[in-house]
Amino acid sequence: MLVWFVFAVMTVIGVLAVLMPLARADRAAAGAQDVAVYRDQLGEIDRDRERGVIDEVEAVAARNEVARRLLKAARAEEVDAPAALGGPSRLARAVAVVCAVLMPAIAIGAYLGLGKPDAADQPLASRLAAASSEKQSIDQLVARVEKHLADRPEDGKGWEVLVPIYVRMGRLADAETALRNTIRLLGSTAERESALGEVIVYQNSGVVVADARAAFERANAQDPLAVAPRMFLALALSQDGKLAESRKAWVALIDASKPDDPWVVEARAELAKIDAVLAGGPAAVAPTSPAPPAAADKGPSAADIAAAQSMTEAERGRMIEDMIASLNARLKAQGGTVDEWIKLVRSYAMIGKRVEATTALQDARKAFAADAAAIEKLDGLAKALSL
Amino acid sequence: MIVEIGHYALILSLVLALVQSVVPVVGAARRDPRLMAVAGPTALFQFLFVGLAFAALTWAYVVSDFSVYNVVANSHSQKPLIFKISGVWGNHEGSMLLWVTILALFGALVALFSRNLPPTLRANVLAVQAWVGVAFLTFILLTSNPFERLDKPPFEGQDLNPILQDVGLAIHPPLLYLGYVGCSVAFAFAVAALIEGRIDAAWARWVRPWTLGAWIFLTLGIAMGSYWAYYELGWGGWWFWDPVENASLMPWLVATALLHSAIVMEKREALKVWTVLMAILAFALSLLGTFLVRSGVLTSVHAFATDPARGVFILGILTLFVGGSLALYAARASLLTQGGIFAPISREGALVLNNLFLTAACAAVLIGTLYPLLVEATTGGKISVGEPFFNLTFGPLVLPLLLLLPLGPFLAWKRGDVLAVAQRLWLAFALAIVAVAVAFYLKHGGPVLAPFGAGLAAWIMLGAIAEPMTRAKFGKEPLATSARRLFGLPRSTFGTALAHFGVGMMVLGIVSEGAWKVERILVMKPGETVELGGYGVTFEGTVPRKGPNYQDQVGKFVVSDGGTVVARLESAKRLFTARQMPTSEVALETRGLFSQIYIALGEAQDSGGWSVRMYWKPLVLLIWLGALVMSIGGFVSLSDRRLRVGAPKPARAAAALAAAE
Repeated sequence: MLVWFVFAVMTVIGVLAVLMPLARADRAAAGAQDVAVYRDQLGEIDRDRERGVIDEVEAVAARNEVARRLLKAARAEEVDAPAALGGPSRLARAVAVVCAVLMPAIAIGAYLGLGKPDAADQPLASRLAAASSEKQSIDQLVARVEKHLADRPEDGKGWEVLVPIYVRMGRLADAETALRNTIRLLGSTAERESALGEVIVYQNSGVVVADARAAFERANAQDPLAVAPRMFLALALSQDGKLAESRKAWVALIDASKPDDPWVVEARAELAKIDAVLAGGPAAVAPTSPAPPAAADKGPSAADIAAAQSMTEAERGRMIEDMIASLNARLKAQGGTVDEWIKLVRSYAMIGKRVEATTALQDARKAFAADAAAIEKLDGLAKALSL
Repeated sequence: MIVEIGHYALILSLVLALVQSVVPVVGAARRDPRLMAVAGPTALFQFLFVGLAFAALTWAYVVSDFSVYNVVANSHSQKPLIFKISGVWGNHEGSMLLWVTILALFGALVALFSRNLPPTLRANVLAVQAWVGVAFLTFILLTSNPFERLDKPPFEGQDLNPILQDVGLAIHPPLLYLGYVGCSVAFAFAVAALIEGRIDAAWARWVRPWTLGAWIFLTLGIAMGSYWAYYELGWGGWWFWDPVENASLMPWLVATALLHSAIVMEKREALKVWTVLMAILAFALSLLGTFLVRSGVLTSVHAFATDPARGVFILGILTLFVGGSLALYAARASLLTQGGIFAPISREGALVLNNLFLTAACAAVLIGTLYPLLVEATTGGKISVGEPFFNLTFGPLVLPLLLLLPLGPFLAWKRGDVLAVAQRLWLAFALAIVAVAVAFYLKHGGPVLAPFGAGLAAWIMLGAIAEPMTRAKFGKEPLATSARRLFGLPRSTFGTALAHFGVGMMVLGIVSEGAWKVERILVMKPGETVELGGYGVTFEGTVPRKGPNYQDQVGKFVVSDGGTVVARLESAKRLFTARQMPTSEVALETRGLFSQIYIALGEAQDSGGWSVRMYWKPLVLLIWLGALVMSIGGFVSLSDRRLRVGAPKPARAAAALAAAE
């Protein structure tokens, strides 16, 4: 209710700003300003002359000129009818009534349409304080822990508490920061390193980038039997194209597990994929790492793939190269989305043409120099492929 | 409640602006003093309410009230206080609110200081200001309301665009808006004069200081923006002919022309019709600038708004005001009486020349800015008009302007004598030639024309100094007399000299930076040293560092001169965590008075090195210091509140007569 009282006071002030001048008595009639300006100018010429800014000849000429204008202005003033004196005109009264009625009506009407009179202010500090006494939602809890950590960033336990919550909320970058802080403050363990690696992998759409691999390697070193690091390291090998080594790692993992261990199914699936590739299957172009979706992509059609399957190794390689080359030509000539460029770079890297991949990456950087999000993606890609 | 009070205050200010835009005009037409008197108080209270709205939004930012959508979208609770405040205008809605706040401020100032204006002119001027206010307040409330609320406020905001989190942003837009909106005052005066069909003597006395004020802020705002681009974007350039930069340059060029033609108007009552046109165009280009930046027509850092409804709305405002005022001009300009006459070779003539070159240069920039947009709109093709175009069009138009610049102030009013001027300026010219020779001797590399550019700069600067010296009769009278005369000169003379000197400084900076800079783009490994403009720069490696809402990778560099270490510099890649967006923090070291070493850290390379961009930029600071000196000249001139009368040089017979008396 208070807010309406304030609005009322403001409205009254606004309306009074219009009504006061309408009601006030008239001041002196206007019209003498031009003459006054020229009189002042004459005075100024005399002052300039005294200070020696202009000499006598100039002063005389200037005085003559201004005097001519003064005479003209004085004559014009006589012609101009003096403004009406006396009480407020009928028009002024009408305007006053119209304003007094319409101004509040328009203001309140517009506000009811646009505003939210009941919405209270919600400064963050008081919301956080209020949250502690009421039931706490996850959001509030996280915000409070974050605030606590902003004040005491060396509280490793605090960071560790946040990790699973961040992961569940999908705030992976924050989860990574929290994990790194946990490791820094509470020390490295196989579980923490492995979790860190996973968080990084999820942020890179499933690619085991160098950072992630380093984390898994640290985890593996501390606990060689932990399953998750071994799986991701095996995956990393196949993503790097080291299929034979990857195969060995998967086989070792499956051998060390009981047949009904939950991860065995996935391990066998990966193994099968690798075997298919080694046998010359169609997955050769992109093992496991999920390629980013390419909009309006002129990729190989089903027929192309079918044809590829009946080709020899050399023919298939040439076809893939041709497809990449045509993509390259198109992107260079007409440009394309950042995802298309990423696909091009990946493709080059996949068939081992690192020089071309680097060039394509540079071209893409140039094309998206103004687009920070795209550059960030490209940087991520460069890191993932270590170009 | 504070937020809602701000919202309501904004609506009330619109209501007041509506009254202010209608009642005084009716009053002026019917010579009703009461109706005309409404203009003043409404203008004052309109400002009061808009100011209240702005304060309320600022408060919401400062306390991180995430129930306000605008705050969520552009702030973050961990942001330093200064960036919370500057974040208010670091986004579309808030910056439009700043725009109308400044507009209302100018309206209030006009209302406060216009007691000596004829009442009809005062009423009409304030009414025209209110038209602009109504248009923009409606725009804000209907399409870009900063007071939009959320039912379920989140606990954290999305942060301000990182490259805008910079002190430069805290200053640049308000300065620029003071300039843009300041042009609205001259515009309001011009339209009011057209409505009345006559120009009062007070008109000229009023328009020049307002234009000068707007021009000062435009100059500072553009210079600030240019310096910000120089150190924040990390490319080492200071002007990119980006459409957004052009959008601010165009009003500046016309405001500069207006400033000079207003001098003629104030002192000699000539060029009235032309001055009115310049006043209209200056504001029209300010509106165009606002349209280009705010509508999202241009894709760049500045285009926060991508909602087409807004673009169409601003385009409507633009068409209404520009079209309307130009139509009014076409219909009424012939009513305005022409003032004093003058010979082609005279101070007036020189200022006309200045105006022609400036407006032609502005036209060149306008074409270069709008042509790509037109091509894209009609054929869908994208072309870019860049530096070569502007070098070939803008350059040749500005060059003669700069060459003739020192001559102008020496010419007498009404009728001048070129020979006499040449006699007074021969020393400056000779010294400028010496400057060319010195530049040739010092700098063997670089373009052949560069020393002539340096000579041009010297010519402008020396000419600027020569003018007050000549007026004080140095060398003709005893030193004491001359000194006394010098101090007796009006401040506006020093203002002119300072402003023109600043132009010379800027030219020198531009020539030197363009012709003699050294650029090194390379990969450096820790411990490596390279030579840069006579200095040795050693890369010591990088260290990580954490800021309040960002993470830095800091590259450490040591600059040495002949074995002695002269500076330790840090250049960083900065990652803002909330938006996961990287920016670069450039290392700058000023050597001598005006030259700079510029180091920007690039990407980490596989080889263990880092890509690094380094520049040696001789005299680069003169570019912005020149602009600063120009605006100081403006301030000095503004502080001179005398009435201006340009004493005409009488025809010979009259002079003889006067002497005989």
